[in-house]
Amino acid sequence: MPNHDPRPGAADPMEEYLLNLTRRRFFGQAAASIGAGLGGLALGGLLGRHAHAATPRAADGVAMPAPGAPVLPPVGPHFAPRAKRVIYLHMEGAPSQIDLFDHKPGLAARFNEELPDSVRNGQRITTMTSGQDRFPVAPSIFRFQRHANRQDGIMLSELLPHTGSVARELCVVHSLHTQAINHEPGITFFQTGSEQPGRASFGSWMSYGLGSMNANLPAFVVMITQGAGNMQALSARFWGSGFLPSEHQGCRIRAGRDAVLHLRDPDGVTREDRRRMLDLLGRINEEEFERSLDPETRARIAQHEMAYRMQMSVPELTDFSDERPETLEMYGPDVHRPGSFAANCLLARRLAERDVRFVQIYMRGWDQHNNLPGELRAQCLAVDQAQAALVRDLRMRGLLDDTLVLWSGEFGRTVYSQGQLTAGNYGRDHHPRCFSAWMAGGGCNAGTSYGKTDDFSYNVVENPVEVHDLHATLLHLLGFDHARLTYRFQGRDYRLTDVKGKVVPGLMA
Amino acid sequence: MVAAPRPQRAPDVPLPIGSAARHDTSPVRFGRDVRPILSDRCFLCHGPDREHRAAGLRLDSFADATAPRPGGAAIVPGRPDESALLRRAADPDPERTMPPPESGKHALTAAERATLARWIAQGAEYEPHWAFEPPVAVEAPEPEPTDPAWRRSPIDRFVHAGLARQGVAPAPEADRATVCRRVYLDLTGLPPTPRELEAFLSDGGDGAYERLVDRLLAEEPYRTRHAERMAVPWLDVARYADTSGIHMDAGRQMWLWRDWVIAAFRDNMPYDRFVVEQVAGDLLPGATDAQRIATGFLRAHVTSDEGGAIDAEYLLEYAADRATTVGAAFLGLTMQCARCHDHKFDPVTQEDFYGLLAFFNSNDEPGIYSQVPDANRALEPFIDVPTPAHRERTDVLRRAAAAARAERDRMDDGERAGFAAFADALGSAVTWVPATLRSAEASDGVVLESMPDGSVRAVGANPADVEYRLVLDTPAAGWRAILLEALPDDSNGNRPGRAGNGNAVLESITVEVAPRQEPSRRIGVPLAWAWADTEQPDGDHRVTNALSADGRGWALDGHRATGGRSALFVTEEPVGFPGGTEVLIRLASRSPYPQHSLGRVRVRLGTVAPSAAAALPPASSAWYICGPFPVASGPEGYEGRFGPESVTRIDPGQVFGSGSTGEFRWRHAPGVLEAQPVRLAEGVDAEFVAREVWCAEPSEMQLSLGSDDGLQVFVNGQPVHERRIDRGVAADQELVTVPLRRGRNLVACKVVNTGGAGGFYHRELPMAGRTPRDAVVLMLPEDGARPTAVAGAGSTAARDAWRAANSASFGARDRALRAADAALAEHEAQAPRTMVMRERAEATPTFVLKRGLYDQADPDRPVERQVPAALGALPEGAPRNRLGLAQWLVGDANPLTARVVVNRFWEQFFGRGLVRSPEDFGLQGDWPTHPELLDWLAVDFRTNGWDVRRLVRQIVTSATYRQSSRVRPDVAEVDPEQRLLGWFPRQRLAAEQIRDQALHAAGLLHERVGGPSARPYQPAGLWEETSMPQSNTRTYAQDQGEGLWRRSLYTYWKRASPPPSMLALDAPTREFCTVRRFVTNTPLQALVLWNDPQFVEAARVAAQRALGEGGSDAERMAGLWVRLTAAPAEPARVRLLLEALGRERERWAADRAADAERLVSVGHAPRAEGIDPRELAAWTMIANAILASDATIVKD
Repeated sequence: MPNHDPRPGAADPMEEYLLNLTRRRFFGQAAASIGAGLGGLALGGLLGRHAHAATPRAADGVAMPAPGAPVLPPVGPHFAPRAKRVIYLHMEGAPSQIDLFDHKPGLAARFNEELPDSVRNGQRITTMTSGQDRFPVAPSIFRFQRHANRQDGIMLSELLPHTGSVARELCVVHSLHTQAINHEPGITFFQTGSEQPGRASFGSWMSYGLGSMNANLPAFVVMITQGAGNMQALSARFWGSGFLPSEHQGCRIRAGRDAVLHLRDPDGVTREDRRRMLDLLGRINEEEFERSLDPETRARIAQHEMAYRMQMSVPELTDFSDERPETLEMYGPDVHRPGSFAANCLLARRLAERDVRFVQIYMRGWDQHNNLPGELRAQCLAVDQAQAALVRDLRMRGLLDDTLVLWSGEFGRTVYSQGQLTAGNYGRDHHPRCFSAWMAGGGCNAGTSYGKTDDFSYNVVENPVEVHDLHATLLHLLGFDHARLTYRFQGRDYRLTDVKGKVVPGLMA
Repeated sequence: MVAAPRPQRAPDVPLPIGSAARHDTSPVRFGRDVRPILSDRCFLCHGPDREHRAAGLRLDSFADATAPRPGGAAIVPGRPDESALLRRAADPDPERTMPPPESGKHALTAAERATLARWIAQGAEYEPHWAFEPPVAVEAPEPEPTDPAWRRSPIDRFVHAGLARQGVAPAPEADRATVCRRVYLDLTGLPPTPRELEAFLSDGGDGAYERLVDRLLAEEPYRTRHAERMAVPWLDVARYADTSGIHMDAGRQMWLWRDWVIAAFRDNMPYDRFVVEQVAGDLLPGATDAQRIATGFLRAHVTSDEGGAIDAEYLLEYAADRATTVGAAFLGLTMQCARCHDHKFDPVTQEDFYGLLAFFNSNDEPGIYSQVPDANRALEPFIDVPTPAHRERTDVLRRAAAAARAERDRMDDGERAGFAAFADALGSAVTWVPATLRSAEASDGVVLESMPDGSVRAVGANPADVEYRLVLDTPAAGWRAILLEALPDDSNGNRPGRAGNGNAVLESITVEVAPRQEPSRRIGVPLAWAWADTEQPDGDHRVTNALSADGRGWALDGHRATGGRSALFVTEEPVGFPGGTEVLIRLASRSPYPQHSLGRVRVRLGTVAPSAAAALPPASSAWYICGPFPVASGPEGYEGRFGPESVTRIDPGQVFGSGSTGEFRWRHAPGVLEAQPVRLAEGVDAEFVAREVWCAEPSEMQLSLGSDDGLQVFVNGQPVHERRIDRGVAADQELVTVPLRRGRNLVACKVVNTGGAGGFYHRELPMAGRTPRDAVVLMLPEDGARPTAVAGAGSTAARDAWRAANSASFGARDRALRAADAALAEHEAQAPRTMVMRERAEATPTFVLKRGLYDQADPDRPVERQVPAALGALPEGAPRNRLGLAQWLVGDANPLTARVVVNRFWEQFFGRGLVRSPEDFGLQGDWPTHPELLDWLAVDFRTNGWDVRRLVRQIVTSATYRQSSRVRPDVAEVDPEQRLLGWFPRQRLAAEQIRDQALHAAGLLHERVGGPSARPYQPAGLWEETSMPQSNTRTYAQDQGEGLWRRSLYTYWKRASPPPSMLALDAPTREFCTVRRFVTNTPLQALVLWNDPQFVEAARVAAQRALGEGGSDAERMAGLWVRLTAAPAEPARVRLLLEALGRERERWAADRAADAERLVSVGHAPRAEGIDPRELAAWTMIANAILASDATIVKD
């Protein structure tokens, strides 16, 4: 439990002095950026930030020391949030909206017809298909099925039957569009609000803005599933903290024994051995503190203790033996394979239960330039059941109301075929002008769909949503005015939405 | 420029917020007190950016702000009550208040309004921004401090005066041991050894400390260590790394630049030269290699090789990155803000940004780089800089290779005659029969023109897909061979294909025949075998693909070599009707590659002698993989049937498996190479590796296989071999004879993995009497279209293939040549080369880009190369290129360069700069804590020849630097942000220093300077999990030996996956210029210090050293403490550690020998002989705790 009363004037004079010192030092750094928005409350929460959060779990009965000070205190929401945490399923490589969400029955009659110039309208296309002399329309070979939602139903691809079964929970956006036409800049843009490296990722903003609710786990966790199809690179920048202090960078949880890097003690070292080492380390540091009066030393003592608790809480987190058989079955047989999308979805739910703020799963392999039908089938098979189970599971546990689930790629795919178009096979190039994504929970407008594209799923014709708009809306649901969640770096106030973004009311309940 | 006399300065502690009202008469400084408020709240709409200026009002100039306006002037000097600015700021009406709530800017506080009011009351005097005015040295303040230690250095007089103004005395000097460790760490990045510490402590003489500093700066090995330590922050600034950063994140050589930086610091290169050579070394008259290497500073940015990305876009990004980096590194300015619009706060316009960018956008480089497998390449433009040793070795290897080639090519008369006979026999094995071209048609609007030589040429439309239909008439019967010649033609640039690049892909060839008399009785003729003289080496492009119409095809590699190509096909049975035969040949070009059709083709028919047909070598497709199918156990893997066991062809569309196992299809496996073990999936599973094999006659093949773990082999759906075993993959574990029927066969190997990594190995063994593949070329007609590219090599290859089978000594001689060639190639690939700047002949025309977008040039706003107008202009007569820019950067008129650099060096020692925003000296930056000191240092530095070592010495010998670091709560009361340096700021060490210190203290550090980057311990799999499968930095090959223990600035830096321990300890990703690092506290850092093998090993080796020394436990423990922390071992401390040791011994003694053995086995450093692992484990845990403690990782 937090030992510090966060308000000045309460603790003994030395403690209070240290509190002030630390606070002011950080305030000096951050004052300009956080300014009045930080206010007394958040400042007061600097060292005692856990006091505002849910009760942290002490993993194994070890007394919790004073919580460590972050370089910057969490900003705290600007208004009452609808969502407390985010689970963000990023489909790396860009899934085809035409084959999954954006039903265009009229295209069947246009098989192999040339895409009308009036639709393409001179748009810049990647150099992978810009040399193509034809742009033949490739209707989806997949059937679509209607699923009941809270409007008049939604048409989803036959590849997503399980996802369809939770359609009442989904807010499906058909009118997303972006600037980027290639993966690296596209993902960087979706994650950080800028195509070029250097900015902070969404999860880092959340860690910075909201802080942690769990003293034993990082606030921002990243997991990766290898896909069946063409895989693009994932860069650490996608979950990096950019200009934000590095404590806000995403922490990867990996499949296998070393779930968190260096979490495991060396072979031969037991938990008791580590405890003794830690006690000695604590004694040395305590003496250092007495010598130096440096509050940072105290902060580090706390971090060592938190590391010790993490060593317990992470294995417990990744051990599914306490899950009921029905739950495991719901996620599908893949759930038993560590690192699979199903296993990562179940982990995401367990992380949400433990109040981790931002969980991100990367599913690789959606980049279907050729042989789309076969590859898409395999990709959907890997995700469909598990993602539906995740939504359902969160609902059953009462977590969905304040957990925002987002499912999206970095852009869409073209209606015209890349390379050979046959009755049974085609490929699709990158397409930034429209793509689909869905949200669930966390105050989103469940059971609805939003936005429309033209008959070719090429251009948005109704209610366009730019990536910055989506970010602004997500931040709104999390209690932030996106224009005020800023960080000053190199003389400029940066924000996730750059200089753009508007909240989209239609996406919120 | 002549500097105006400066106004009397007010004290330099900013007025604390809230105190303004109590000190109504104290003078307000515009730059320090007022501008930050206006800049933060007002300039966004009322500042320098002309496009977003609201109401035509700007508050950054006195004239504008005081001009009469309808609602009254914003500012009326002397009359706060009449100034609209204050009225609006205090207006409670949200419609009228300023800044408007929707701007996201916070309202002015009462204290801020009071400050503005006092400033207006005092006359509303504006002053230019301090940092844009040239620095002027002022005398250090008088009276001098009474403490003589604080009178020595002007630095101390400035600092002392600042403290004195607040009524505070400086902190006492730190004890000598602390100062010793501090200065060792600061100057060399490494702590003193116990002996070095002792030597200093026992030298009580006058000037001992100064002598130590001089030794650390000037004498080896310290001088080089100092250079390495100074280089690290500069590597951050220069975003130096070993990979390209985007997409493939490919490896590239830049380390010569890194070594140049180290050499520059070691040789104390004056800072002005340091700047000029990095910005314009290539443009200096008679530029040396070293000066060119220096320009790598401008090349170290990220680059892209992503297919589909747009060249122009990235060329802009590279130039913008250079402009931004130069702005931040040398000028302390945030230039990038002006990329999309005029700077909101600083007087930097879009023209200024693009004027600066124009110095950097004429580099002779591509925007999107090609993808190559060589991880040691340097991206063009680059220079080779072989060391003399490297060059010498190249010559030796070249001579050896030439000698080996001569030896191999030497043929004696017997060999010559034997080969001639062999060639004759093959040449006569095929008899080409007469055949007349009857018709030639094509689909999709393509026209086939008949040519005199019997070929047809495609003209007219070039659709994405096309099929040619050639009808031949032949009187002959009994023919089996079909020769397809793809001829070069002028209309295709002398290349075989019609694609823009001259390439072609033949998806399939199909043959139908009919009796001449009854053309309608047409029947299909199955093909059994295929051979081609050229197959495109990348991808799945073998000629056997043309035997099935399934989208895969034979690619002719026409984009890389001109000339013709030949393919030979053999039918299953002899063909021909007695009265003559009409032959329809369909050539289809339908593949994922649009327009890759054949340009000009000719077909011939021939008979094949039966013995020659039987001797044709089996023709194999590429390898394919299917799976891994998860299984519960090994037996299930062997006994289960997953589908691929029973198939007889590779069908890329066929799906195996089900929802429970996952669905799988055959996928091309380019990584499966002849005679090389390949890694398969990890886990318990079954995975299939298969290829099609085509035979002209029933035959067999001998395969030498290997697998991890066991395997089964199926041929055409029938099991032919099984081995159940648990093992790792190795060469030649199984010898399998595979029966093959005529035509298509499928050879499928099911590899059953019972855990861990899977693996596969294969090699086809030569068989007697078989015609080598490379000799098949001898069966072609001599007047045929031998491809020019392979004409010479083709016959050599045929000759060598024959000799390999028929000359006793050839094999050994050939292997010797291959080895010699490989050694040379490997050596040359390691040639030191590095990326440099090289100007194009013509400067790239530059325009302001709307919103900063590469394709939005504003034709009405062309820009010339120029420096930001507010900062001056290029010197008279300076060239208008990077050299001129560099001269301006270090010129006397430049107000920023000297300030920015002395500030950065200051920060290296004190943790914070005198300007606490080292990357921003602009209006939004921080007011200096000691403005006069900063200017004094800047002027002194510049007038003394930009002597870095002198500056460093000045700083570390100051009394300010030698203060105690004990926090002073009373001083903190008046100076909460510690701007006045009332004590020495304690700092956690940087990532590199923490690791280097552990290695050094343990005695593990391997001090080799420079060279290619090292690969120390890193958790397995990190690169694989995020890299492109084709990336050349996909697999981390950890070093053996010294590479594990080199200084951290030599660690290989992959930008997409930087060294995890460095990243955890706050190192930046090196994707962009980083001028300062944050220091954070996270539990992940604790985990690194406890468990990273590097630190566990260091603890163990330090423990070994302690145990290897004589004396009592107490003496050894004291030694360990001093070694790891470089701090004296006080008796109380040693007692604490010994108590802990007692507990450890107790715990490790009791039947924990196995545990102890495992702990002390971590790391590759040798174990000391004769130490009980339990005793070593006990000491290792103590060392582990010390290494993770603040006593070690903090500089105090």
